[in-house]
Amino acid sequence: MATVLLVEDEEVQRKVLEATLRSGNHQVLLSSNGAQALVVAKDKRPAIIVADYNTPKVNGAELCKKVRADKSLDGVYILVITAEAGDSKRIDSILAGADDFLRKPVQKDELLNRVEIGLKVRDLREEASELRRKAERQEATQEALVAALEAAVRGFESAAARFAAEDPDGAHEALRSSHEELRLALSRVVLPDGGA
Amino acid sequence: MARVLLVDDDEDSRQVLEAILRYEGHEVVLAANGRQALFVLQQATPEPGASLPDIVFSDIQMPGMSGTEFCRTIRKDPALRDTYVILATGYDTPESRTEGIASGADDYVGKPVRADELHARIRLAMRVRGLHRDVAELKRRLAEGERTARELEGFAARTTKLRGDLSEKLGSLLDASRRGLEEVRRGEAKPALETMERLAGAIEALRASVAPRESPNPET
Repeated sequence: MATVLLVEDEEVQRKVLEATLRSGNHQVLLSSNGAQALVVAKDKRPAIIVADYNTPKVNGAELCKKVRADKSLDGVYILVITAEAGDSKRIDSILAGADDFLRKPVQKDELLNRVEIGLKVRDLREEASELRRKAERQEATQEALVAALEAAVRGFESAAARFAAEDPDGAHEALRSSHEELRLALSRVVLPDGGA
Repeated sequence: MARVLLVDDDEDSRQVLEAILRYEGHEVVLAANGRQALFVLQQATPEPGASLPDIVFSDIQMPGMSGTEFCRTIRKDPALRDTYVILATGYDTPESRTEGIASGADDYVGKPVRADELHARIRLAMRVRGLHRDVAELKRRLAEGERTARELEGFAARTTKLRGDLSEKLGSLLDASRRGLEEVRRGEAKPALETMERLAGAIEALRASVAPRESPNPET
């Protein structure tokens, strides 16, 4: 079960498609045009947008472009319903923003199958995004730790040099500050088991 | 562009589909039934990566081994189970349309196959394969990062201990230097001198303990 945003300007068609999606146990959000759909999408974050290609105000292609340009809607799967499919150039222009297309008249099982395939792709995208975020966080904390360790080693060298210059208080100060840097860095390290 | 293994027993269909795929710029490998397709995949697997097809596009109804049997067979084979399979299914009933998905295919196209639909499904397949590659690469990076984190944690722990040892040594040296100063002030020159000598020795030891190790001379 997923939240599906259905964008269709024709009322009868919208009701038929809504009933089909509900029969697949999906929660359905409704919009009659692209402009309204964009507002609903930002607010409700659907897993999938099923959009008629020819809707007034903001059409399917423009809706795709706007959704793809919005970072907060990253990963959403877009299935476009089109009356005239045609050659691969036209399909390319549809799929520049959408993930898949479905030809009218829409068969009930066909719509549900394409939504199921879309959900798998969307889950895969979510997984990739989460892993990417984790990897970036991990790399950032490691870079910070390496920098702090280098600073700690420089602190030791500075402490030894100050002590050799008969400045024991300065040596103590150098050690104290390098220790503080190290403590801060260690507190930021995120290990896989959650320990620091 | 994709490398597609096209499986169809009907020569005319095979030629038409091959022409569509080549027109779109895809590389095409041909097989006439599921058994032949299985052989092509099994021959390709010992050579890592390069020669494996990105996608198998197969008809369902074929003599020898049908598309659904082929699909079920490769899903059981650890070396082949991740192959992306699109089946060309009948388009008369919902059952015939979903037969492909039920047998474990990743996607399907209803027959007669239309060029725009095939193009869209292959495009989607390449996106999915790209996502799988991204996920595998990110998992590898994270595992490597976890190993590095453990090494860094060990190094940080050693550094903290070293800092503790140095602090202790510096503390005792600071005490000794103050003692020496007091002895000088009190005019006790000899003990002061001895203290200062001990201090100088300790400083040298301290410097040696934190100094970077000299790299080995390549000529020796």
